[in-house]
Amino acid sequence: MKLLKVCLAAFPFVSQLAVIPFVNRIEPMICGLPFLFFYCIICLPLTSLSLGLLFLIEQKEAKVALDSNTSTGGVSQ
Amino acid sequence: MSQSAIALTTILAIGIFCCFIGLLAGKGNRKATNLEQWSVGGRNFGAFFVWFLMAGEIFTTFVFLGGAGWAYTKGAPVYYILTYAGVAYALSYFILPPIWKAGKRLKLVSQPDFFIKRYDSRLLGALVAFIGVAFMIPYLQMQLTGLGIIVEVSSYGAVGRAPAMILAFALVALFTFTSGLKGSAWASTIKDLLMIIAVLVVGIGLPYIYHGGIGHLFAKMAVQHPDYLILPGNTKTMGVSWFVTTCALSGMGFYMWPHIFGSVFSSKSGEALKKNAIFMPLYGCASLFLIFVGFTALLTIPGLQNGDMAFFTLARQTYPAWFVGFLGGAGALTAMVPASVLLISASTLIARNVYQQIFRPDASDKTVTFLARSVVVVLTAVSLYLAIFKSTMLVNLLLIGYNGISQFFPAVILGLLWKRTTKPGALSGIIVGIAIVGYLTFNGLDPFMGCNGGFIAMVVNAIVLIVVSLLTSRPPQVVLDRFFGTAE
Repeated sequence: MKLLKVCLAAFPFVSQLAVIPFVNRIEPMICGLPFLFFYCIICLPLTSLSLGLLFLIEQKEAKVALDSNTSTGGVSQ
Repeated sequence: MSQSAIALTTILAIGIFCCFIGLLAGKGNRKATNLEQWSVGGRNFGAFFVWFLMAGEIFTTFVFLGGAGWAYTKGAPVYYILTYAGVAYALSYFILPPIWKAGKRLKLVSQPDFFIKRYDSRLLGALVAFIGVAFMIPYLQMQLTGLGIIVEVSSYGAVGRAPAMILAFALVALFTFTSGLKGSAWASTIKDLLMIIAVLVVGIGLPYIYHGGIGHLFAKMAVQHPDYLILPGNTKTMGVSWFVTTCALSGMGFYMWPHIFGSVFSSKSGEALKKNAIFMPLYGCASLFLIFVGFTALLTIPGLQNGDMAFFTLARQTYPAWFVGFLGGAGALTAMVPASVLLISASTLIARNVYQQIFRPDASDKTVTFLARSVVVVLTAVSLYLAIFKSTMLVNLLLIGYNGISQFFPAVILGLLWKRTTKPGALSGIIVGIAIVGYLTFNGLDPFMGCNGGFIAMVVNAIVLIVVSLLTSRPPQVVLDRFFGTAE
């Protein structure tokens, strides 16, 4: 889980900065767009996706932590 | 009615409608005379308002005109407006919640407050306020220039650029006085709505009308201007290394703008900021339609002297006057609303962080509020002067602003992550960074050796910060405890 979180957190930066030198080309055209342009666009929804997943995992972990706290504290719900 | 009268009336109607909304929203709370209300809106904006305030910041007149303008003159380097947004929002997911938390605990309202509390130094706070305001001037100049272009072109030349900018100046100052932050947030929602309609209609419509669709547009581009489609485009210096360093720098700089940093404090929770970070990249996609427009203009009306005028020149020869007016109105709002948010924070910085905290701690709230409003007038006047007499391409103004403002990033981030960061470290890092930016900018050396000049300055800045911090003694534990909330 920890590894997954690191990957999700790193994804936007790796894809939008480190990978750019390897995608600077026109072909193949995708959806009628030159490859570099298409790549820059597609990275935006993928960034949303990876941050969204990260957020869900964090929420779930926070909830689990909270539940275990209340159960050990003996507070009934 | 003549075409220019129709277009101008539409623009004015949209502008006045928005001022009216701002006024109404600003009047809604009686405490608007209080500086904290005026500047952070009472720290109770939910995700909705923060979203529009922040999302609004990326849709300025720069995207509206400069995006198309850069595609038209330079080609592929313009893709950076998509990528830097993704980098900025992704970073915000991680850095804004801790900044917000510190803000909430210590009741911070502005960026210099953050520096004052973390580094226990009013001097550093004042310096940050000054530098912040100084680099807001090119940003403001950009909004006024954009507004001038819009009115000039969409009035079919009936109103000259200078009178248009003076009119813009008056509208922006008036709007800023009456509305405050809450009014701006409301106006921002209207602005974004109009902007999205305008961008979709034009971004899909123009390529379709002139070239039979987006696919055909790029097929033609690939034959006629293949060099425009990949880096370095139609330039010599803006290759891959420039692109990557610029996206990194602008991404890191985005939340360092004093007005955007300040808007973090108006959020209700850290979670609202994270949710924003998740959805904003989708919103950032809107800029791609302006790139379509820029390429369409390149194929259809080549040879314009000023690329920033490509969008409206093409729109004017395609659409009826009322729709040109609608585009002009939407475009005018993309300049007015961000300009007013900018002015509110710049004037608060000068009046509160410099005047009240350094020179006259006993100044009354009334005096400070009065001073803040005077600063609004002075700053707009300076930007107006620059916009009229020192005109330059919109994107260059934006890049100069980013180069300077990003120099706060090391002191903010290392200040949060590394307790060993000291006041002399932060101070010398910022000074060295700004000095390098100034040197490169005034000597025309940016981009420097294929990289973004501001990025190089920031790397040196961070190194200086770390070395000086290690050489100076550890910050007092009391200050750290107070800032990080570890005292309890």
